[in-house]
Amino acid sequence: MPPNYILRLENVSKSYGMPQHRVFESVNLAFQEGEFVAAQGPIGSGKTTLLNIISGFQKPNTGRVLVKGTDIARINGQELLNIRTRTFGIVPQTQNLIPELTIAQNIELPLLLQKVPKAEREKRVQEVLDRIGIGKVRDRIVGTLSVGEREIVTIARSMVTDPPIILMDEPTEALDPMMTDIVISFLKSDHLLKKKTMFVSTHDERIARLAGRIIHVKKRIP
Amino acid sequence: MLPMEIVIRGLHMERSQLRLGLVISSMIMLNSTLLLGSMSAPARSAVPALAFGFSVISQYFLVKQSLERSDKNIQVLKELGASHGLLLQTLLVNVVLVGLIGSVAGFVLGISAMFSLQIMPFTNGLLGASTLSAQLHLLFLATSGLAGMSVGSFLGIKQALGSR
Repeated sequence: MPPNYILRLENVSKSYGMPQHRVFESVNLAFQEGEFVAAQGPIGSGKTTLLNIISGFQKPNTGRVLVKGTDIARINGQELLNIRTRTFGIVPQTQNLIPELTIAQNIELPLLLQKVPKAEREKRVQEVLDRIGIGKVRDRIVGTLSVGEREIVTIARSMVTDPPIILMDEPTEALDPMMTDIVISFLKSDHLLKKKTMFVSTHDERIARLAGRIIHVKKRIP
Repeated sequence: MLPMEIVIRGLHMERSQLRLGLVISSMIMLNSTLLLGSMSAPARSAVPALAFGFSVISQYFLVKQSLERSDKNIQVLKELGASHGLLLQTLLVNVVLVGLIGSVAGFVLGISAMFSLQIMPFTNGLLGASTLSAQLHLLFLATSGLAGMSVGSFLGIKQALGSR
């Protein structure tokens, strides 16, 4: 039986600027459902670009990005937005929370934008908050949290919609060892319990060890 | 549409700014109504145009300035799946609602002031002693003020969202 690929990159190339700087060329990658893949490589090697292409925030110059069979490199607007919000939970490198809102309101936002009914939203937010152990501080304003605490909230928000694929860009980069432990145990349990497909760009060897496969991204010499 | 709390806190449409919007739109309508009452008949037709112009300009700058501060948060909402249309609709409804309340308040205050100051012969017209033209002038003024406020809000929001 052929493997069940949820995500595939076929001959994807990306370059920037004039004169063109090639970030990568003819990349072929395939992710099976439930697989945990880590990407490692030096700063500037294109890991973030790769994650942005997979999630549709950036378009490749050539090639196909197949998400459950749909080439998201060829679609735009509402269709792309729908696929992205229903398929991916994204933890970007720079935290993108709304500091004026509470922890619970930030986690609720993706559900709100997907028009999930209020009772269901409340239930799902509370579930995620309890799972990561911050249910009691749900009404704290995000602007008052530490960098590590915000990272936890970002991870929680990426999972609240129960997406099949989770993309994380250096989730422990700015965290102290204690916060890193919390993130790792969270990833571990969620990965094991819910069988998500995960693609994580990381320098942290402990996260890389959790992965079933490691992709080494090399920096191109111009 | 996004809930009011997200709009006020997340998009920096702070209460003070909303109050300012309310005061400005009511002042424009109040002054225009008084101006309409105190001017001679031929000059009255220029008042709705003035109200329209002032409403467009004041709302445009108020909304634009308010949303410039929420640049990053608008980006976050877009990344999480908020479409351009949803943001435009949410902001427009909230901003126009405030402007509408202000305009109606200003309009009512203006008419009350006109009667208390006994601005003649316009008040006679309103009471039916003269022609229908006074009522028509007021109706035209109200429409122009609301239209100006809506156009100004739309342009301000469009400008703020479009530049991202």
